[in-house]
Amino acid sequence: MNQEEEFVNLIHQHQGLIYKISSIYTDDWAEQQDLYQEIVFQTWKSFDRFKKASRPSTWLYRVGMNTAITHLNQKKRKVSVVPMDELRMDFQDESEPEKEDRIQQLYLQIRKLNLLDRGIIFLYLEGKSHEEIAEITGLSVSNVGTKMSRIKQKLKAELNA
Amino acid sequence: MPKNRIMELEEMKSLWADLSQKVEQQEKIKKEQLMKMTKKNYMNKLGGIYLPEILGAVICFAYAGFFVFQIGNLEFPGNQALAIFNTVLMVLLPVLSLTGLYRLGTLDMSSGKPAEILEKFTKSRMYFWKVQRVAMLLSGLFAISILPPLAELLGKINLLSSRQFWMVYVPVGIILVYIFSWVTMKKYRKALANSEQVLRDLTT
Repeated sequence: MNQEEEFVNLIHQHQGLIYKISSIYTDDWAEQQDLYQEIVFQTWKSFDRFKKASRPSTWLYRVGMNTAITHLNQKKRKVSVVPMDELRMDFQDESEPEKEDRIQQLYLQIRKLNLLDRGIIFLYLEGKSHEEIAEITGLSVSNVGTKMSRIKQKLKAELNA
Repeated sequence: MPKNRIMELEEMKSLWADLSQKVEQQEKIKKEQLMKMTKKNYMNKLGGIYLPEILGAVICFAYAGFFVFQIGNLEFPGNQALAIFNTVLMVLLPVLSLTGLYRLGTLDMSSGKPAEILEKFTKSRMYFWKVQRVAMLLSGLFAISILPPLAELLGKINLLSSRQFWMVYVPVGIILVYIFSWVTMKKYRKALANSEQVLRDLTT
């Protein structure tokens, strides 16, 4: 299998993960498309350094979060995205409007957090342990614990506001 | 519109699991489309970001070359000094801009972890804003100081000894530079303050 095929298979297999990162870091459909494509592009750009020893998903979490963090600050230099009819990021389920409301509320709460906290809560929601979050983000395990407590406090403060 | 109800983490987690399942079931982008999209994006970036910067730099360097060859044709020492100053600026400004862009563009998304990347990126961005601030002030100076040597080269008029230059061009130029600086500085100050906040968030 050549490198191009390997790359396409990796992205194809982990499209859901890229979709989710794009959706927590942006709130607009066009921006989500843009970020999605940027993550795929950055993954391709650094694919040479992709170490097979590390888990592909861990590596993708990292590239995805790194791209989202930097991409959000570069809107001025944004280059228009390739129009993609196939790129659908519509998770809305009209058959369950109440659930849909809760999902929108969930995004609203996540997007209120700062860039790194958003990534931490995302990994937590993905079911990652504090150790795994530390490995992906580059924070120490104790720092992840501290940040998680602060995020909980922030959410509670909003609850009581 | 979502109801304004704040969720606890556990509720968020279970909702996220449902959402993840839905995302996984969603139709995927076809493999051939993925590579096509990536290659197209690469070309867009090349043409949309780097090409205009490089073209701008080439134009500046060409003008700098023109001035270097024309300095000998300037009779007035004041204009010669201004021509040298402008030549230096025409080399310095694009170099500063390209360096800032290069620093932002060379961040490797795969080698660092998000906390490190965020720190590196924020520092690069702060450097970029600071460079832009200096470049903007120098551009203002450039816009005024290029007129006398250019006027001499085009029509042999010594603008430096003309009343019109000092009474009209210089004050109007300074006012325009001031207005422009005030608007952009405000933006830069805000951007720098945001960047500093990101760095503070990282360490606490």
